[in-house]
Amino acid sequence: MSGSKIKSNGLLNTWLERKLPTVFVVPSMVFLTLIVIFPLLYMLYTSTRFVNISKPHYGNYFVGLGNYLDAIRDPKAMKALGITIFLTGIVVSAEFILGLLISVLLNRPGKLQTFAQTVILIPFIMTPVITALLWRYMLQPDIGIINYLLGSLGLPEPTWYASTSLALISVAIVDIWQWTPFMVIILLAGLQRIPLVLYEVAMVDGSSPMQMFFRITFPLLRPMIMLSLVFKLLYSLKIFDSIHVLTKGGPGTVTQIYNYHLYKQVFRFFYTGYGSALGVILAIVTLVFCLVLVRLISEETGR
Amino acid sequence: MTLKSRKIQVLIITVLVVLAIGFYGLTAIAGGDSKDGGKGGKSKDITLKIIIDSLPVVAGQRFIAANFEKETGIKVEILEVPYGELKEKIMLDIIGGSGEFDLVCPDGAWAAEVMASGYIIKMDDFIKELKADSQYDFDDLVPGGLEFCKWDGSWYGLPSTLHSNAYLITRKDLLEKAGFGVPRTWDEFDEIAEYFTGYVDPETGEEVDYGTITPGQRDDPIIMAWMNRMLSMGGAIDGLGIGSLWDSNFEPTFHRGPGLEAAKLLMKHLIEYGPPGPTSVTWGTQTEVYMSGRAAMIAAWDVLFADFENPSQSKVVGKSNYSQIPIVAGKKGGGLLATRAFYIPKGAKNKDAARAYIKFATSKEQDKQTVLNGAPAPIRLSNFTDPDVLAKWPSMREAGKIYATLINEPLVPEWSEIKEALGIALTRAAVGEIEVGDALDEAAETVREIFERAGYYR
Repeated sequence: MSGSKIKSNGLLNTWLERKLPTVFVVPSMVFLTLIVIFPLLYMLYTSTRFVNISKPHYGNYFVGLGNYLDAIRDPKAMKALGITIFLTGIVVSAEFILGLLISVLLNRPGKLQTFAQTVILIPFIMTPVITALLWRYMLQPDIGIINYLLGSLGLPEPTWYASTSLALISVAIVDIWQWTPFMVIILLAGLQRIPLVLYEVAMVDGSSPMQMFFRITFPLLRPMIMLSLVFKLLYSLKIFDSIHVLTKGGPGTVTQIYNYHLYKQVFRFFYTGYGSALGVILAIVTLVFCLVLVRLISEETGR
Repeated sequence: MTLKSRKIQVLIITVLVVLAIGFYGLTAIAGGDSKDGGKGGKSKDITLKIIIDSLPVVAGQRFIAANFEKETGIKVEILEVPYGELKEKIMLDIIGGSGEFDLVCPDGAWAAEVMASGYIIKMDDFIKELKADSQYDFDDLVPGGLEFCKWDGSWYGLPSTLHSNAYLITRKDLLEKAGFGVPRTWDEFDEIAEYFTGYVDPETGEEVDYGTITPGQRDDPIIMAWMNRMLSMGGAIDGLGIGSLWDSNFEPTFHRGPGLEAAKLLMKHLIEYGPPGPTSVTWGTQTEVYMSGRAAMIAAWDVLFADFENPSQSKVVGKSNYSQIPIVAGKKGGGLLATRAFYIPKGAKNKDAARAYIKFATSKEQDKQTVLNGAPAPIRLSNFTDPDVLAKWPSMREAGKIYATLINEPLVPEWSEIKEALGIALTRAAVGEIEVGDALDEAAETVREIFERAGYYR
């Protein structure tokens, strides 16, 4: 082979080596742009316009930040946001505490633990709509099995999701039942990564189980705690299925969470401009919460 | 294999994959059946796509579709969706112009929104043809159903189904034993409801928990229960001033007169005679409780009559009377008429075939077959008195007279938003959060804001 041919083949090979990874990444980038970035930018654009797509005679015109101001001044939207934050606080806290307790109990060898680890996943793998339907029937005040059992034991039979005081709790129960296994999976994985030798050394030093938990388990579990809390926070701020199936935002508006309010504005009344602004506000709130959470946990770990 | 030959192989495979994806994408965009039967395309190439919600009457619609296929060779695909998803799917299809559906059957509750949107075709010429066709007999169509097919002076569709929940279903065995007749006034209704709430038959030990069970779920169930009572008290939809939802200037008036009285009556029925947690009661719960024999009376949908007489579902087979909901003594009776209508989206691919289907499906013979094979919900007046229909559905003996008194939901594009306000108000009152009068006052204020934003007061 001539020297020039060898040289050109070498250049081609080098070019291929450099460009081939890009070629493989391009389809993903195109997909991401089409599915994520373009809709996001279009949503930002739509949020600056007054538009109702089912009623073109209302007009379609630029309002700048008008939709955002309307959202902030709308008592229904702000109440919905407050309910969402409150509900998120309840479910994330409850799921974390329960998840941690269960994962600690399951973090032992044995056939029973292995079986329990499998069974506990069942609520998590059910679709949210089916879960909500199941609980709607179970919590039905008149024909539901929960009240039937309570009545058989001589206990009061609450009206659950038909009561202003218990409707939000009912939604929380459904969410906690379904999502605690998610916490268990993540935290259990974290627990199983902690070297046993640390506990052995601590036992030799005479540490109590509580001391071992707070001095060894908890600090080393922090990255997984952060992961599970961030994921659950992201999901909880957008709860929809259980509200739609269980209460439809009622009675009154006690369970009208932000995402359901947004859904109604966009898919029932078709105010896409206003709905886009609501969506952007939700995204900002979610981002702020996640950043605060990550910061808090990172500061504790010193990272 | 050398490094060079491997890289060339990888490059060739990559190029082939990209070309394959691109080719598939291009054929997916350019492909699809765009032939129209009326313009020289073959009938066998056409598939007519219809979207409707999962009602008992759908069985009748499938029957029509099969007959239409046999007669014309045009295939019909019916997509059934749960009611909760219907509006979203229809509106996004017609607004987006995707042409996924050739016929859409929205709820009459948002018919105005669909027609006013400008995304469905006008049918003035088509209706003229039908009116001129003596065999079709256009005047035989139930007038109430036709109201949902006209907007701003133009025709946009024809009714596909009509039904109502202004029917009163009573346990004739219980009422007769206790010496009661079918209640014809709300006072009689209350007397019977009170008697049977917590009732135990001294001879048989049969327990009836509720004198009546009324749906109180937010949105349609509680709103329709309220409106039926309001209309039966002589109320109206619009124009009457006090006694209607709003006056001729669209100023809300439902929070006074029959509207307020109806709401108070509804609260009484929800709280005093029904189960705890009335806002948890859906139409489904209501019929389940009645069919299990635990309620003496319900106001329910005519499309469910078959279920009440189905031994595999109901414990009260042969024990029910079917009549109209009570009226306030001395005032005209009424109730709500619910509708589905056929509309053709502007983006529909098979418009001529869609028109042919509408004519076929709304014809006298097919309407009769729908009723015989589906549910007692005809769109033609003659089928209310047809002997074959009455033999199959004895409950329809009074249906013709009842349908003549029924009134449609408001034909305003903002009705969905208005219902949201009404549903919130009524459920807040039902759980005792607020007095019913105050709840309706707040709803009236919200409705006023909705009309103002829509430009009704300019």
